[in-house]
Amino acid sequence: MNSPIIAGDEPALVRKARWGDHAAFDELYRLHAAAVYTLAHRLTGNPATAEDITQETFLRMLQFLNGFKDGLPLRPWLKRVAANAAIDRLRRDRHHLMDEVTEEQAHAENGTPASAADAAGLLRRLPPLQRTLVWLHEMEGWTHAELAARFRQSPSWSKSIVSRSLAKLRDELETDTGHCR
Amino acid sequence: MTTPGQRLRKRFTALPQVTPPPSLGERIGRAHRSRLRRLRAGAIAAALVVACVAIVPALQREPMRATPGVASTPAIDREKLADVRALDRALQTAYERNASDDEIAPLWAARARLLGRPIHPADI
Repeated sequence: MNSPIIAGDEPALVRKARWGDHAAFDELYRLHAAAVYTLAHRLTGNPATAEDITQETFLRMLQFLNGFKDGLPLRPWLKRVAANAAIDRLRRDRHHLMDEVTEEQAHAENGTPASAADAAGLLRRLPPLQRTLVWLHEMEGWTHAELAARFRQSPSWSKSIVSRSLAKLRDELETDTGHCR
Repeated sequence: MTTPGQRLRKRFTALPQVTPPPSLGERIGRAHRSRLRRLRAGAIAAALVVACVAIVPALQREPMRATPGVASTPAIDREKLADVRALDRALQTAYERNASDDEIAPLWAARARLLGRPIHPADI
């Protein structure tokens, strides 16, 4: 039987959801699914993969030994799990790590090039590895050390890719702004 | 005046959230319920295995219960049995000729010694 939910008591909701409480799970999903799905979508650029990552993340939350500690906010933990899942997929697909995917290939993978004025389009124009590093560093606050550790590379590797990618994005933005004037 | 870097970050921040498909929540819920069922079945199976592992050896270690009357009776060898029978015949004869208690008592005492148990007054 489902018990009433006390708003804001996330650890209690997680405990209930783990034991099959539908209302608790629905509440957690309502609170966090969009954020998790959005991050997965930004990193992978693929709706189906974003769905898989979101499912993987929520199922991880519902596991009894998942590394989530009571008292800590759930959202950052969920986003960290989702980001790690996206990185793991990227690492499995080794050719991205070789950093040989060109901008043209990225365009080809993501269909017709979007307008540079469209931020989502700008992001999609980056190859998967660059997109992931840029987004996690610039928007999610990952440090180069954290990125390097997760990718099993050096911090200078992360710095170099993020720096080059940002320069490319800035150029595109400037070019587009210039065209609009 | 904003720099290109700031403008870029501002645009990224302004991006709207992407809504997950409506079926995704139900899909995750189904997957979790299915995993819970498997976990419960596994836990029951594990409990049964533990119970078997704990109980079966304990049953095997339990000693066989002695049959009443067999272990408590001292073994009597053939020679002793013959002496007991001779004493029984002597007692029967003594009772038939109405022998005195003084004659009968030593016979009962000898019989009790042979059987290795104290003389009970009812025996006399």
